[in-house]
Amino acid sequence: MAETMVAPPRRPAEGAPVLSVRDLCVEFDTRDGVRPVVQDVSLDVYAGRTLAVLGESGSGKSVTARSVMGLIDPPGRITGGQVLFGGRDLVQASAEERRLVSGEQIAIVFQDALSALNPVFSVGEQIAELLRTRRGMGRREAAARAVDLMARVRIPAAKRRAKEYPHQFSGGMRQRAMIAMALALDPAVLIADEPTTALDVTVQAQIMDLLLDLQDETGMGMILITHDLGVVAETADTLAVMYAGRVVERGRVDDVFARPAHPYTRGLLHSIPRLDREDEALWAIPGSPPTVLSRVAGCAFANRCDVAIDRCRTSRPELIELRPAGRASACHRHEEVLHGRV
Amino acid sequence: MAASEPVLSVENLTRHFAGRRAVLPGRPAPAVRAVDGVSFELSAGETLGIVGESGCGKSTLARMIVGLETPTSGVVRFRGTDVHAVRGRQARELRRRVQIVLQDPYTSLNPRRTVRELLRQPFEIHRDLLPRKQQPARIAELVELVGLDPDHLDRYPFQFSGGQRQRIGIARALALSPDVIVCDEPVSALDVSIQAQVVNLFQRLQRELGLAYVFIAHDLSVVRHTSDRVGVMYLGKLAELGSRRDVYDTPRHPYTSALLSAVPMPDPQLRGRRTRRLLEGDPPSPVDPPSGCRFRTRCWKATDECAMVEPLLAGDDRHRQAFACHHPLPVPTA
Repeated sequence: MAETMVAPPRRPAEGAPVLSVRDLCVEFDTRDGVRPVVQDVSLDVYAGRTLAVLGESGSGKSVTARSVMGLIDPPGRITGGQVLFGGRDLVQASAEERRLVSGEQIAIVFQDALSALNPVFSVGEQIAELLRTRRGMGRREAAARAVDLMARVRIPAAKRRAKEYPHQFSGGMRQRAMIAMALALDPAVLIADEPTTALDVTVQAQIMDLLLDLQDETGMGMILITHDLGVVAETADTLAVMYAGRVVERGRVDDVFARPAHPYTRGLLHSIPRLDREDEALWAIPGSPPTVLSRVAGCAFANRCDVAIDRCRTSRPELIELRPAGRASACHRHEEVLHGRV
Repeated sequence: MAASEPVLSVENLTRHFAGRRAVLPGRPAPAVRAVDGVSFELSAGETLGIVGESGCGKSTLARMIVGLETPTSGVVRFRGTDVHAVRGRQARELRRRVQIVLQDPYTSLNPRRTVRELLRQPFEIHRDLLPRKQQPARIAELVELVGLDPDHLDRYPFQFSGGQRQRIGIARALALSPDVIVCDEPVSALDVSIQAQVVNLFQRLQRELGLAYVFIAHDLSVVRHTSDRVGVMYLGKLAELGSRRDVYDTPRHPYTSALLSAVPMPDPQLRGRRTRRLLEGDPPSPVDPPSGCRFRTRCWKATDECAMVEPLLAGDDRHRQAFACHHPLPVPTA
């Protein structure tokens, strides 16, 4: 129950990204025709660093994560772009190649740990099973290693708890077990898809603290899918904001929070009440996020935007690179927004 | 200071649920003590926020206040009248004055009824309230009040977004002109950009209609924004109760302090400059709560006394900060 420091910011990553998504497009067949769910999304993940993908429901953030993992099944399909990892494009890779990478070198932790765990095997058995099939370990060695992994994610009395079943675990402990399983094969990239959304705030703090410590120990790159601006501010290094299937802004977290260059990001930052100050009324973005995506002519955010001009409704703004390097915004008025002139 | 009569008072409210089945034959099933002796008062036009983690009993408390759940013991009074003791016409009259808005507008609205039908329903139950002829005008007024499009009255709930559905839920709660609305996690199912709209709506309605709210949420930032006073619940009991400023700026109960420090701040500048106290483990089960102080198993200040003697919520809850702790945190000297 120690006092811990909220982790200080890390130095910017150097060198090449460990994983890159380039111009990813994903479509889903629906009763109303083909819907683009992810459009031209590009992301870079660096070793030892966390990229947050921030978005509301329907923004395409989870579909992007699943595409990286190779978990897009019909009626969805990847229609364009690349997922570059270890010198290979995983979109084009054979099923066998894909299997060797996904789950092994790229692992994922989902929001709902209860449905991701098998209810009829003990938690220890499930982790050990992974080590036996993927690492060829013997029964005894795998069981011992599973206990080690559970201790590493700070599950108390790991040896005893390894014999227990998922329903005997609390929400926080189940999420730890999922993290242990994800780490079992030493992944180079961990995707955390809303890892703490279902958890209480005191447990959320424990899990985020754990993930950051594990990242420091292993040097794994992390993609953190979330809608929580507080979690982003405290744990991520870089940020991509998604809206209606596209990245509308990206950059270093401190930079984006201090000087947003897209009206949507700015609106989100203004609309949340703060624990450390009292505001009179909250700024509210009018309208709702689009539920069914379609290829609109202009900017998808224009109908909710407080600074939209005619051009925004007719021509879609491209994601334009800004300074410092890595900073980008998809807004016709990004200069004015960035400098607070509108 | 002369205190106005509270519009709502809750006295030693308790709700135990019998276990579904006996663990061992011949032994009684363990009772879940969901709410265990909660007391507070609510003044007209005031917002009392209730925060706490899952399983702390805040939703059961909400359901007892509006009469959806019968207390095991304790009293809920609306302007002095025991809500659970009255029957018939008087009970209906009291129900009308205390309404509820639920978390999930996706499941709390009947999918087979249009908005117009949904808003007419309260008047069909409370027939004496409004002549049938005046219903359309009142429904139009309600729709206007919560910011829904009057042209959408004949649509079904699925045709609306989450935020608009919550507006329908609010309009329904307002239909019978209540004095108190119990809001049970009213924005937590909504997207971030929509939460602010709905929070602002609640505040505008309070100003315009003089409503009092019991605002139940797990999001401490939203509660700080909406509430005049705040109660912090842990395992069925109030750990702390006081003005918003006192509770947030100088928490006296260690749990309040830990809860506040766990909230991630949306400000990257605070990284490396803010400390937090990480609690260990999850809240214990309300089936078998710890003896003495229920928080002691996770508390860094706990002593033997905490295991043996239950700390009572001390202090006058209407004007001062009350807390249930043997070892309260000091008030920092300014």
